[in-house]
Amino acid sequence: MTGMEFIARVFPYLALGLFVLGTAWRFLRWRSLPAHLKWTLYPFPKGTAGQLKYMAGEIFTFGTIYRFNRRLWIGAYVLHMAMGGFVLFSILYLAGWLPGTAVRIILWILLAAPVYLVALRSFNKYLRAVTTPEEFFNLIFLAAFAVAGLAASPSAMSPRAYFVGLMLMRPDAASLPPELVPAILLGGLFLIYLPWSRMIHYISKYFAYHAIKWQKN
Amino acid sequence: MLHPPLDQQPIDPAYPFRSESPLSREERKARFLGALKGILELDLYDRPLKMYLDTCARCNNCAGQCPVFQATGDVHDLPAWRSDLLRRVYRRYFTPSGRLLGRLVGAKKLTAGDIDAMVEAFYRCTMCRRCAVHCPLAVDNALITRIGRVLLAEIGFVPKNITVSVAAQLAKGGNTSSIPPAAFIDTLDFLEEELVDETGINIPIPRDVEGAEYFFAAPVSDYIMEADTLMGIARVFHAAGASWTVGTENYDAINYGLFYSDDKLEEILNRLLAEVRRLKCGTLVIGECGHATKAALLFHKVFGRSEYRDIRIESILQVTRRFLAEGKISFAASKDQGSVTYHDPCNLGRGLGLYEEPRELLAAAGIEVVEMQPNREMNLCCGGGGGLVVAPDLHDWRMSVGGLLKAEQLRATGAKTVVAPCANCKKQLRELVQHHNIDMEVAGLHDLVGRALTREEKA
Amino acid sequence: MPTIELAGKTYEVDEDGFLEDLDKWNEEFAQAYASTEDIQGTLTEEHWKLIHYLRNYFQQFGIAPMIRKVCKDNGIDMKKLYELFPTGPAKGACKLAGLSKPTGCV
Ligand code: SF4
Ligand code: SF4
Repeated sequence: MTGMEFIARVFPYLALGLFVLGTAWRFLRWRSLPAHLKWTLYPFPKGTAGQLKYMAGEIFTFGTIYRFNRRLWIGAYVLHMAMGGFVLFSILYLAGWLPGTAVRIILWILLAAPVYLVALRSFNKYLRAVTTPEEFFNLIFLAAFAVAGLAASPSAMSPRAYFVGLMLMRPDAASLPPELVPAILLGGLFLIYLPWSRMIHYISKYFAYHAIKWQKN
Repeated sequence: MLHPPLDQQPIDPAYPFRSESPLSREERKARFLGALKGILELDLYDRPLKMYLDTCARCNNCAGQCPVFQATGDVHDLPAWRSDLLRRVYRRYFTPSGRLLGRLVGAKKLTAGDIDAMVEAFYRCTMCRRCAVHCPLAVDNALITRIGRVLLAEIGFVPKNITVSVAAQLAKGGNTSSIPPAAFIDTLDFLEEELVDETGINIPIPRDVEGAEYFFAAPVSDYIMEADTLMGIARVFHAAGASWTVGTENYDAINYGLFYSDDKLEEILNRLLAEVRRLKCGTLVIGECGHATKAALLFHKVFGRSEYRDIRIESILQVTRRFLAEGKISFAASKDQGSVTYHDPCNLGRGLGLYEEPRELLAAAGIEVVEMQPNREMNLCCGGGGGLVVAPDLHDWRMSVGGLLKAEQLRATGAKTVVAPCANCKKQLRELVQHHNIDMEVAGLHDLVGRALTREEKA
Repeated sequence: MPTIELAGKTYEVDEDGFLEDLDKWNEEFAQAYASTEDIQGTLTEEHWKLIHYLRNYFQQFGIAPMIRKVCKDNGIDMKKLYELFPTGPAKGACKLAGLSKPTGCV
């Protein structure tokens, strides 16, 4: 198997697989931990409905940061929505329901948001004091992915055929436009890295709220 | 542009609190890491601690809520910066990514200088948990502070005054204020006389009554400082016709172990429970004290010896509120108390959810409360939490930093009296109003509640 | 053990300046300490009455009495107590009386 074939036919599945496994491992590990000290913070939303409502509000609006840290919120909110948006738009594009331009716009946003956040974290005295190289690394990682995606997108060759093949479990190295390779590599590496970085908060948040902050007796 | 802010060392040269460890600087590091390893293996802290150490978005939402940071604006008072002192060590020695990637993921080798920084930083946090209310990831910096202090205690760093009080408490028949039993009994006699003077009837403070339903333990400093609170509580028990007692072999609910040591917490708690058991009482009632109530309620099932697990533990706020609900006590038409505001002690509010009980009692007693802004879960710490109020050397810091926002908040209410059902808060608030020239009385909850009781007790 | 020199004599005190040994106390000690506890000039009759009261109680019980008891037994109110000892009964009055430092939430 050539390197190109590996990248085209194995790597995407490997990355996704490791992402799912990594996430599952961390989820199960946290879930399996023994009963801990009760460290509830009062008051908390009553009932499952109330808690879900709070969570949904928090996830879709970043309400707490919006209220207390508006300048960071702009960047953080846009960044997270762009990440979700990228996945969604890509699927819609592959399904033929959205033009490639839509994906390109999202990628521009996915580039702009990290750049803004790097700047904010560099120039705001207080954010700088709590920002570690990891934050910058994560942001630059995302920005690099966006750049790679943008660099690939104006290509003459449509990536649609390749991705559709990938989704139907019939990956075809020949249909992979070469300009797309950096984006595939970066995207895959990001997926592999994600569960082990502190961006694992997409899982930890659940426990931190439901199992600790809102724990009943 | 990469900034390595973690290299900045604290701290405020004017900060008066210093603690000296008997260990050499080299020994400190090794023992610190050993202790951290031990704590990470404990079920007790496993999930919350690792989660808080693993995930922080570094958004500084916490900073906007922290009264200490708000007062100083110093980067070293950023809650996330403080927590990072521990986080970076955890990362370096206990996570694969930190071992592998080091500084890139914010991991850092422990130095003796880092430990010095922690001693100050973890004693500049009052563990009020205000910062946890609006953390998007539900990280609780106060728990990290607590664990940080536990680790520091392992290598000998504990504020002098706390060690002195705890040693006094753990001596035979001792207590944190070193009140000998004879003085304790003399004080009870005095309080009974005062109760006769005030009410015209005999209201006993029963001692060593075997089989009483309620065993009452106040923060022992109340027997020096808070006559009105104790008298109010005696009046409530009496009016409700409850069977209650104090114990003459252990009468101190204070548990400074909460602030720095699980071992001490456990020992102090079990000694108190042993006294409850000696007198065969069913319920341990903790007086007006936030940290003591939280220490007992939260750690009872964890650290209480198994033979003591059946003892019920309640705050006096819950007991009095229940007496009211059951119609066992009632209040006379309001006497004019002047305007009253209510301070939510952090450990009773955020820590235990006792927000409405005191307010309902005050309302029932016909006392209108002018609320502080903000209040309840967003109330500001008095500035003396986390045991800092015990240290006289921290007095100036507590006045000008820890309690600065609180003082402004008190003044803004324009109230004549601030009610705080917590010995720790009351001490700090009294010093605050004096220091900041605020014309305000500081009182306990039962001071007012006791005086408002109807006189059916006369019968 | 820290020491302090007052009016030409040396006393053993704790790090907050509280006398280590109740019996080493004398009136010059109290008078010499007054200014550090925000008391102007010479101690008055009222000061001395309180100081001796505190010492007596301490000798008998090993601790200072409840503040309310101090006021009651001496016929003064809290305000007056703070006027006499501006740094507070627990700190100022006990210190001048040569009692050991009150600990805990006092
Ligand atoms: S609010 Fe929470 S996530 Fe944000 S910096 Fe503070 S502790 Fe970290
Ligand atoms: S617990 Fe309180 S004092 Fe400590 S960091 Fe949080 S808000 Fe600040």
